[in-house]
Amino acid sequence: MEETGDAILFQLFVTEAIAHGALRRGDISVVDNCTIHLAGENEGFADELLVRCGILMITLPPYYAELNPTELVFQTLVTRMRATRARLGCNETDLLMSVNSTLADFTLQDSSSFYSHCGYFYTNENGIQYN
Amino acid sequence: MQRSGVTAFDDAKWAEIIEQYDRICTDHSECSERTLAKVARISKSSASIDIKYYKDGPLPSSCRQGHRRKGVGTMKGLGMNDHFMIYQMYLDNPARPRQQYVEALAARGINISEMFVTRWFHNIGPFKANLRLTSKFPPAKFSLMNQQLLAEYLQFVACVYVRRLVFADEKPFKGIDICPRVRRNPFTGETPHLRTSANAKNRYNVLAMITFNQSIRSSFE
Repeated sequence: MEETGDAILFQLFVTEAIAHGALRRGDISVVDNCTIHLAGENEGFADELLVRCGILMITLPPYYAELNPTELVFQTLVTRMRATRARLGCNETDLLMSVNSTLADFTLQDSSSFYSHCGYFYTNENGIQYN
Repeated sequence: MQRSGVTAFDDAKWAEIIEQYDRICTDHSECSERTLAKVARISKSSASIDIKYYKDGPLPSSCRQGHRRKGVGTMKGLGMNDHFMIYQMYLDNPARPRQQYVEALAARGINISEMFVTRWFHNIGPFKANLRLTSKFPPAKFSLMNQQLLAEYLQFVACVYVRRLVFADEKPFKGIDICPRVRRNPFTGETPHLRTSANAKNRYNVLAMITFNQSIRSSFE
């Protein structure tokens, strides 16, 4: 989005996510303590989400960004975009297009490794993951 | 074992050197220091001491390279007190510039260069002590209240099915953040231009969600 993020944009994003099936009934959405998520104009947004869609929205403890796997998504996104641009040349002009194509390349394996890196899983010697 | 600045030979290399030494001794009845130095690629003085030890039997590991190591700063006349003073100065202020070490030692009558201080930090301990950026964290992160919030969060996460956790966050990007670096032309010195859209300096907000739902792999605007 080519604007600074605000509460309305975040609401739109969550609505889009629900429409695309990324957030389903019974899911728990975890966000950081940024004011645009659950404060200000979005003060009652979490309650509304729970009542209407059955999605619980909770916040991470402050200053614990390392518990948020999305940070790793952004880190990997930047790395991959740089690599793609370096490989293809420097003439890529459409930033949004390259963001979209790079995001689409993320796999379930990536998600699993990000969650695992943040400590939500651990893998035993047989390769079985536990919470 | 390590001679300052030189990696010690491993056992295989020493076995090869001894084999060469034996062969030369057999062929020419003796092996001169110069020949050994050439074969082992060590200095002539090292070769003379190695020959001295080897004549009494197999070269013991304690007598191999490094056994004559004198220590950091010996040539400059640094004693234990001087080493301790440098270390204490470091503990007082890890960001202290090298010049201050030079001045402090000059006051004790020892003239050293700034480069010597760098080498001292490289060689005095098992770790190369370069200048490096520190990790930064806000003190509030470890406040009691925040620790309680963390404990509550972890307790909650431990009770739910982790695959139902969907994390969301936003990150401001600039066009410049994701442009690759380019090499300048080695002959003309010019840096190639990067063609971007007119609003490359604008801020883009990328909102992302991470989920285990396999059917969602696309992105949307």
